[in-house]
Amino acid sequence: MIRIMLVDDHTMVREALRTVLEQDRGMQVIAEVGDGETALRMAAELAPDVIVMDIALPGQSGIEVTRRLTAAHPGIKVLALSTYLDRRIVQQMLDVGARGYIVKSAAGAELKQGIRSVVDGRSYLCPQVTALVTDSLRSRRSPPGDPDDLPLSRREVQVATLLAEGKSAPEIANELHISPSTVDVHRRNLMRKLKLHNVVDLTKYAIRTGLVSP
Amino acid sequence: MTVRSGNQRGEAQLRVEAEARLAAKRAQRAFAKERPVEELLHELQVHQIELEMQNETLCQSQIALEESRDRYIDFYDFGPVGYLTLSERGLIAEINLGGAEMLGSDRAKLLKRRFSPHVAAGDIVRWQGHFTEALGSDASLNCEIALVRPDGSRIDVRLDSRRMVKEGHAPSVRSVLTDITERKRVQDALSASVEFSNRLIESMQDGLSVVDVDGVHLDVNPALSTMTGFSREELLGSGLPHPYWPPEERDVIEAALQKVLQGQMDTFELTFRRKDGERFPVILSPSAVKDAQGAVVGYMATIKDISVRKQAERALKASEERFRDIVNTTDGIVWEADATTFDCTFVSDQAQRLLGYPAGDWLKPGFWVEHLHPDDRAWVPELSASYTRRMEPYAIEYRFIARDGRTVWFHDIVTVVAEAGAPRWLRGIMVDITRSKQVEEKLREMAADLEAKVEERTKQLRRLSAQLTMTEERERRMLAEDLHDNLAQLLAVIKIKLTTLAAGSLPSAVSEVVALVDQAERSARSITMELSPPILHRLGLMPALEWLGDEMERVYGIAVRVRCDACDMQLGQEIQAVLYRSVRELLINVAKHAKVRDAIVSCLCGTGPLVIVVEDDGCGFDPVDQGRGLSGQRSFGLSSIYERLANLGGAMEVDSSPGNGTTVTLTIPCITDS
Repeated sequence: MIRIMLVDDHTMVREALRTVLEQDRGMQVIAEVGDGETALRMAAELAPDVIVMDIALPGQSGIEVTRRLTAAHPGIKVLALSTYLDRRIVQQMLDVGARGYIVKSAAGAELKQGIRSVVDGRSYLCPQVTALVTDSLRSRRSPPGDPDDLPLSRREVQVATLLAEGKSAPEIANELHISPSTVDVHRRNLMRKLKLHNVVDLTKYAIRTGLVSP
Repeated sequence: MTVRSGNQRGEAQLRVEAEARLAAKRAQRAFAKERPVEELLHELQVHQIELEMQNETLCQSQIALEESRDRYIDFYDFGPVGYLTLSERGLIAEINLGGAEMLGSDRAKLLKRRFSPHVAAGDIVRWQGHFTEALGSDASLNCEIALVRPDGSRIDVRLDSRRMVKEGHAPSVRSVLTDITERKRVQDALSASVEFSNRLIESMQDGLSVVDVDGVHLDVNPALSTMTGFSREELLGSGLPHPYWPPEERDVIEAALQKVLQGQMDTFELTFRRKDGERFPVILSPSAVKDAQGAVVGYMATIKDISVRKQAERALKASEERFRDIVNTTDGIVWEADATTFDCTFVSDQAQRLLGYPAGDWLKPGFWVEHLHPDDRAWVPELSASYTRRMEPYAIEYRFIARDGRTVWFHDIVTVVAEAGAPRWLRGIMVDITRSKQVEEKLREMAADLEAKVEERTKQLRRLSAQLTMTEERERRMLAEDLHDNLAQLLAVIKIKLTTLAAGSLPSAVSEVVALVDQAERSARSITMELSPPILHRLGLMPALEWLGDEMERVYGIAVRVRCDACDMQLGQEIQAVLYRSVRELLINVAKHAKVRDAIVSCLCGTGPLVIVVEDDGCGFDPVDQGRGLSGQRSFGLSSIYERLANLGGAMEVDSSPGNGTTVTLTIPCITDS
């Protein structure tokens, strides 16, 4: 018998879920709670096998509650059940320790399978979420790049080149027909993007990357 | 005379003398006494002596006569006058040399010729009258005529004519011709000169009065009558006091008169009166009239009516006073100063009234410069000097320190007066503009105040607008949550129930309903996203921006690279919402206008403010053409972004120009949500 706790602030949803789960003899809804704090307390008290966790909870979100739950009770499997269908939320949820993610409307067909999967120690993503994740994996294959490597804009390249050539901000402003304060903004931005601290470093960078000839 | 005296000796005397001579002879011969013969002889001798003596006398007489005749001829011929004897018929019977000379001809040519041709044409009738009258009268007559010489010259002569009658001869007329040309000329000149003086006196503008020693008028000229209104007749014979003396001036006039009588011939300024009673000022210049012996016989005075001059003087004085009045009552200080030293040579009374310094102070060297406001003491003289050098009129505004320490603003309008081509004087008028300066200052203050108020209002508006934005965000989020909490849950429950109802294989009708519910769920989700992406408030700004990038790619087809520094800063919901919405609008701008398929969003955090750069390599635009980039329809989004950021203490920088892409930098200080 899988002991299940439902965390959702919508009574109507919980009833529907209970109806779905009670059709299965191997599953038992041992608790229904409407907020994170109660969930944490009841989890500690009842030690359910699986917690079906909504994300949009009043007060602490399901993400935060999950983080605390899995931290406190590594044995309890958390299965996210949300109307949100977004790669980042899915990822966040999985990151904080959820074992599966099911779109709420798919609960009728998917929930029982999901619960079984996580109890068996596997992850479970409903087909819509799976599609989402594979889509993002596919798009991520094109320019992977270093997330820290921020590209310079064309303007920033111009400013960097002129700075490396030893020109002053007013001279650059004059040459590019922009205001000196804008030059300053570009200078600051590009320094931060390149993680450089002074014009000497910038000159070295410019020579190394071929922006200017030595 | 000799002849006459000889004759006058007479026979008796002759006899006496002869007797005396004989007695003397007898005495010589007294010793011879032969009486009768001797007596006869004596008689004879006496007689003889008498005869001798007679003869001697006659001889003497003859000699005297001859001498006399010669002398006469000399006199006649060479006398200074002309002697002319005309026959009854008017022919020249005799003429002396002087006469011939007067007629301008030889005597020989004149004799037996007519005299009348020598008379000037204009005097012929008169001469004929004279001649005829002289012929018919014993009286001596005279007449003045002009003679014409053959050479054409004229000579004025006086004729003194007398008829001569000789026994057995026709009567003739003897005339003495006296050359009176010179006299006549003098006389003419004299009469002309008298006439001239008379005319002068008559035509004199000044009055002239002649009085005797008692002050009785002997003569007056017409000017005096005109001047006084008293006729000549009224004045002549009138004594003291003169009719033109005003009674009230009598003492003064008599005092003047007294001086004249004492010989003090001053010029007196007196007041006379006209007949109609009007008083008028005169200048009286007296002089004494003396006879040949130098005795004062009367006085003469010229009287000049100076009322016109007085009027002119009064008018001049009035005009000068008026000018002074204008100068001294005008609001400005009228002044004159040396063009090189700026030392005053004149200031109007207003100088003292306005500034308290007496006029004397102003005229001291260096006064003006020394009393300029310390801030104006250098540039005002310098500027004045430069205008003066160029001899240009100028106007400057400066401050002057009054005697009581007040600062007075002046508008000084100056002209440069040149002498011999070089600046010599400055003349100007200093107008007190302190009030207008104060008003100006007040206006400036008011303007500043207004500006401050506008700025304050703008801030309020910004706050309001930001609040509105926040409210909007909140509303959006609430709507999104409502959708999520109610509709989405409801749809989920419906679907759950539908799928559990027909566990296993679904009847096709139910499947259709499930598909519809799915569709409704997708709509609700996309509306939720549009309203307020849950990811923003569930996951924060950076994930929301990344999600936004995905959405832009999905909806608008532009590839958005979102690069964020690992950032753990806690941003307030408000700031996150503003930044999210701003970036979203910027990206929509890129999608709609930049004509490129790529955009980069960079988030730079760490130390300092959070910077978000949205850039593209698109067509760019001219921020100036776009109404300084922050207004107008195209950049409405930019303008509202700017306002929202400004309200949060942030800033927005736009770098764009046609063909150079667009870089928008959003800067926001990191304020953690309290």
